[in-house]
Amino acid sequence: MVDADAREVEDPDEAFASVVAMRKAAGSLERAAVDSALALGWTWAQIGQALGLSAQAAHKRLAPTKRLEKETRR
Amino acid sequence: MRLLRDMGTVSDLLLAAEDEARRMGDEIPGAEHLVLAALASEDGSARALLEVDADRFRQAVQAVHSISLDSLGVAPEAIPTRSAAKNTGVYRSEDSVREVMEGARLLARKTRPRGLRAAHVVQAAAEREFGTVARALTELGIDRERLKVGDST
Repeated sequence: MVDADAREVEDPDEAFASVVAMRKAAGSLERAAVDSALALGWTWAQIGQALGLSAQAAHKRLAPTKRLEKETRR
Repeated sequence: MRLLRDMGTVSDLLLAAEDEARRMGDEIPGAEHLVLAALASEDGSARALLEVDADRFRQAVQAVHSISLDSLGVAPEAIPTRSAAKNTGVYRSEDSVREVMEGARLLARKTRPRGLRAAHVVQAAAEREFGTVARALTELGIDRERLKVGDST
């Protein structure tokens, strides 16, 4: 994993590309975690709490019914 | 008449870019999704210019992100892919989408025959030196200089 102390940014282009990839990965991981939590019976209040959001905000942004059916594989 | 046709093209491309973004797990579209929309459009000018189809470009975008994750020690296959939520409100996109679309409209005015074509979107996106589109083009072995305005539109 990333060792922030040991790693200096030598190439900003590479570093920014990593930032973009991490953002994208974080979004996918967040949605997968929500799917899993819902399957386990978590409420939107609990999901929101875990993510630092209100239940309403979490539901609005992450409810599976608002996503496209079609998913592409990485 | 041409203006109306251009507006229709812009609208179609923006909506297609939004769909591409969601399918790829991104909440809002960026320049790479606009290029994908251009490659998938019925007007085959973008495909003719790049000499790749939307599937191949999508794979290159995914490869670019995987390489970046890998360089950080994050296994790309460890990240589950989920499509993003459908945006039901006002159209939202990264700034890059607006910038590329503006660039494409300028190119459309400069070239003959006049009128916005999918290839203009690709050319405008390729003018960006940094970012996912530039990296995906490199991944595909496509020289951005080759796409500069003047010829194949």
